[in-house]
Amino acid sequence: MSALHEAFDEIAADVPVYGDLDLAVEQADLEQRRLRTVLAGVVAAAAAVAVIVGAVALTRGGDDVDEPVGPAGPSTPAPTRSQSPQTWVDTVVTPVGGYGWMVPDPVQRARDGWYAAATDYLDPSGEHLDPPSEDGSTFIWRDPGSVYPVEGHLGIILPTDQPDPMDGCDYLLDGPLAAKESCTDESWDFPGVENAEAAYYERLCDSWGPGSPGDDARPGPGVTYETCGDFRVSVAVERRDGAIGYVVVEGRGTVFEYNPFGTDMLAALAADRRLTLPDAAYDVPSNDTVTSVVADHFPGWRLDPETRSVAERPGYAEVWGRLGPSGLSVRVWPAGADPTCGRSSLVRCVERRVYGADDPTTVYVGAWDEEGWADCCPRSSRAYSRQLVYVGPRHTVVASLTRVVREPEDGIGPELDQRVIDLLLDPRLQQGGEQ
Amino acid sequence: MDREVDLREFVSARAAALSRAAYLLTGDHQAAEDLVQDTYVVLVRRWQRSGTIDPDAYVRRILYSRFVDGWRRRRLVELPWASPPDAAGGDEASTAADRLTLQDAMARLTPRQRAVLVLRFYEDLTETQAAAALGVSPNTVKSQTRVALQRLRDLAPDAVASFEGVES
Repeated sequence: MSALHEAFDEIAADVPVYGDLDLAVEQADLEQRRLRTVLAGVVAAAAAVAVIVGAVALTRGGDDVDEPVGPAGPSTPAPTRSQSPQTWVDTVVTPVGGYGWMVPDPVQRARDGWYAAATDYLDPSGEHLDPPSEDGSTFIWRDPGSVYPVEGHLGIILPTDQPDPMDGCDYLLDGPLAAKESCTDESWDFPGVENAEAAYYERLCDSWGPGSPGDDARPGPGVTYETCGDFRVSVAVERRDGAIGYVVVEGRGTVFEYNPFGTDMLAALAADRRLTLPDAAYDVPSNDTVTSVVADHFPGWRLDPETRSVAERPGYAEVWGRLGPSGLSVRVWPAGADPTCGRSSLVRCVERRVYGADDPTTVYVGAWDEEGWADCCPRSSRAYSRQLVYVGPRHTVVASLTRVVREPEDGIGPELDQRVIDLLLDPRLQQGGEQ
Repeated sequence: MDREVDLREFVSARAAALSRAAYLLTGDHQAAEDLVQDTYVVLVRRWQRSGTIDPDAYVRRILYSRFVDGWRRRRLVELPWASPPDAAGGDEASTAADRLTLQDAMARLTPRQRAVLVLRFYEDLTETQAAAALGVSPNTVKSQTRVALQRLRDLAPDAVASFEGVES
């Protein structure tokens, strides 16, 4: 052992054991959920970048997108004030534990009761359900005998002219039925509610082996297990007050052999009084409205087709898509307390007075850098994550940007910040919703 | 489930050593804690994916590369090594003074220089192993080690006098 080793030993002799693995697991799960919101856009961007990596730098350091982004469209309300890097006054925010901006959602308390209801009806023994999801509207049910979990979504909405779970198969299907697909509607009397509707969708597996449709579009001699497929079931009830409670479950296998839940069981959950939301939740703009606002500010933004027109999380709007080489998502929910900054992977967190120090309008701007993108991205590239938060008079609006760049280029510049702030402050995102 | 058990066993076995290394790198308890926690998060993400890894080598690479590449720009300027406490007397005071001088000198090295010293003379890795942890060539480790030791000698000749003869 060298003398230097002994000196290091002495310096580190009283160092306690740092780190909390359980917290790390939570942080990793949280990061994955956050990243999933922009994953599709970023992966697409990374793919586009990979194509050109051999010829040119991944980005040229600017914020150019695949189409020129001009001024806001004609439907954009004229801003009464303008903001720019020259008007910004930034104050660094002291970070606390966690990742990204942790933005309070006042509707969360209501959603916390949803998991308890789901447990009572779907897993009274407590053996099958995973711990509740971050927002409480999603659950994972596992059977020890199967490698495929069943994923469920539950919620409560008010009727709209958009497809909703009371529409059964029209809600479940993305388009006309394809070969091997089927869907069946069912209406029945369920005590305590006005109407009850169920829909059972399944897609059977194609046959395997040479000549299967996936190989050369001809029916082949391959083998198909009778119970191989995917299923999705929706159960919705119209309550006495007009609200619609619903549960949608999906999993692998055929619907009647592998769906672990009875229809009455799901209906009872959909009708449970704990499945409720405060009035403010119904005021949140729809995904369509948010999509329209984002598109007005960023004509080059391309909505990801995975964004569904029907809110899967009532009281919460979320759209995501691609903006040139970046992924851009926008989320809206009822306004609550100001956000706190997570220090994990933190680059910078600031509280920004966007119109100058004398005006209280504040947008929270944070930058984090991402590890773990090696699977998606070219070598020596890095994904920068940037979140901007505006807690408005009625709603909180969060924009998340992720861009893949070649190190050590900066990911996102102030010009893009300025445009995103204009988007966050758009008064249409503070107006009432149509849900 | 077995993978989770393996992960917990690995962390349990390595946590103390990682913590000490993180402290030697950062010279600050809070920064060391953050570095270890960030390392765990990355390790968990990797562990949750399929496939096998060499956990020792992987976690070392995370810890040191995060320190050298990421930590420096946002932490080190704010976190010089701890200020010397009040001096005590006797032999203990002399030892403490030497140690503090070494700490102070370490704080004036670049992150990569600090990392190569910790890897080579605390973790007792070979140049090749240290190079793998930092993602650089063994020659870079060799040259950085030589420069780092010379810098220590310049900054803290008394404290480093006893290290003369250390292989560089």
